Amino acid sequence: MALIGGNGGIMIACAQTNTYASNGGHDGSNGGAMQFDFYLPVDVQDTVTVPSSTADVRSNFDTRFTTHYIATHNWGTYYWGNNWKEWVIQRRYDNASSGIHATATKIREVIHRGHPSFNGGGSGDGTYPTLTVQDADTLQIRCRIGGDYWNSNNLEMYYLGGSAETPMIGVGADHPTYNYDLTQAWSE
Amino acid sequence: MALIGGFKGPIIAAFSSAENTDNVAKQMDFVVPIITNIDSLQTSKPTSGTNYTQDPVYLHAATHPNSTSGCAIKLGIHAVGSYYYGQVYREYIYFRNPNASSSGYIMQLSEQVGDNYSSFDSSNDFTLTVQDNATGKLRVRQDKDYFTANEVKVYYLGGGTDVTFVGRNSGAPSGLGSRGADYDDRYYQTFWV
Repeated sequence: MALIGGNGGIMIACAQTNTYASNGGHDGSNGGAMQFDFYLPVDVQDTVTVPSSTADVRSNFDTRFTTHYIATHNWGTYYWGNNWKEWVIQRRYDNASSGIHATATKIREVIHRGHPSFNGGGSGDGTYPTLTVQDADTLQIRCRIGGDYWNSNNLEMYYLGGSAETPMIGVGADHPTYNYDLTQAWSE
Repeated sequence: MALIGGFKGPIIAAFSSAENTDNVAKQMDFVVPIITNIDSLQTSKPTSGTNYTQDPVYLHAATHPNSTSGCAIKLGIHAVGSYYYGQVYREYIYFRNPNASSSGYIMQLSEQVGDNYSSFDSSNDFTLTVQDNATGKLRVRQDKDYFTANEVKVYYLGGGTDVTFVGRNSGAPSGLGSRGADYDDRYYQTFWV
């Protein structure tokens, strides 16, 4: 068990772009940008129970809405630099119309351009990576990386928090009550 | 077992200047996991599977991480003082890049200032610097309060190398390109698309 990993350090994806057209891969014709998909868990909070009593604040709780807090570290070695971005991916269920929806939003970043041309150049935010929702039902997210020479892009993606396979540590019928309690009735 | 600690939120370094006797600013060095291997990430070259030579996970593992590779780690530092009381919380990203192997660099992501007495916050002597990039050694310095009244806690918030990889190919390189080879088939990443 990794030391930090045992305390919450989780990497969910990584990539390096040094692939070659001769192997069916990237040929550098698209500015160095490449993309892959990854999937976030959707069967969340498996220790949450949904009481039938309508007096309980958890009644009718819909476990399909989730939030995932992740970080991307995109770095390059030619037009070199490092870029850390933090993202929130939200998923909700719409009873009225069209079911599950998801959005991916960057909330903040820091970038170090060792070379002035790294990742969009200038002084603004990094052009890459980008995250876009491909499918909300399966929470399929597309990550597009680039910003450096086509074979010099690297990426690590970390899970920082949110509702992916997370235990419910409050009150739950199938789970012990730990230190934290939750008022069981509505209040106004 | 600490409840939250059992899941997340470890403190990786801390100091108190309570025993400081020489009225010199207190500082502390600590090493972060940023140059070791990601031990759950397979590094042997795949030999089969669809377009296995294009496997982004293998390609990444083959070049990362080692003592000169790139990486980033996120730290939260809470600096407090108990005499001219006050508190400041900052989040930092420590970057390493092969082109900056002799130095590395630290960027501040955010800062929140607490209920500070004016004499506490009048000092800017709260810094995080790279002490030895080759070993991932950082130095935190905090002297915002009276010289015996400063404390610091450093929290690990994400990133680094001593983490658990839960994506595809985390164990053995067999069966690349198929979802069945996943460590957990709900957490996989694809080949390039």
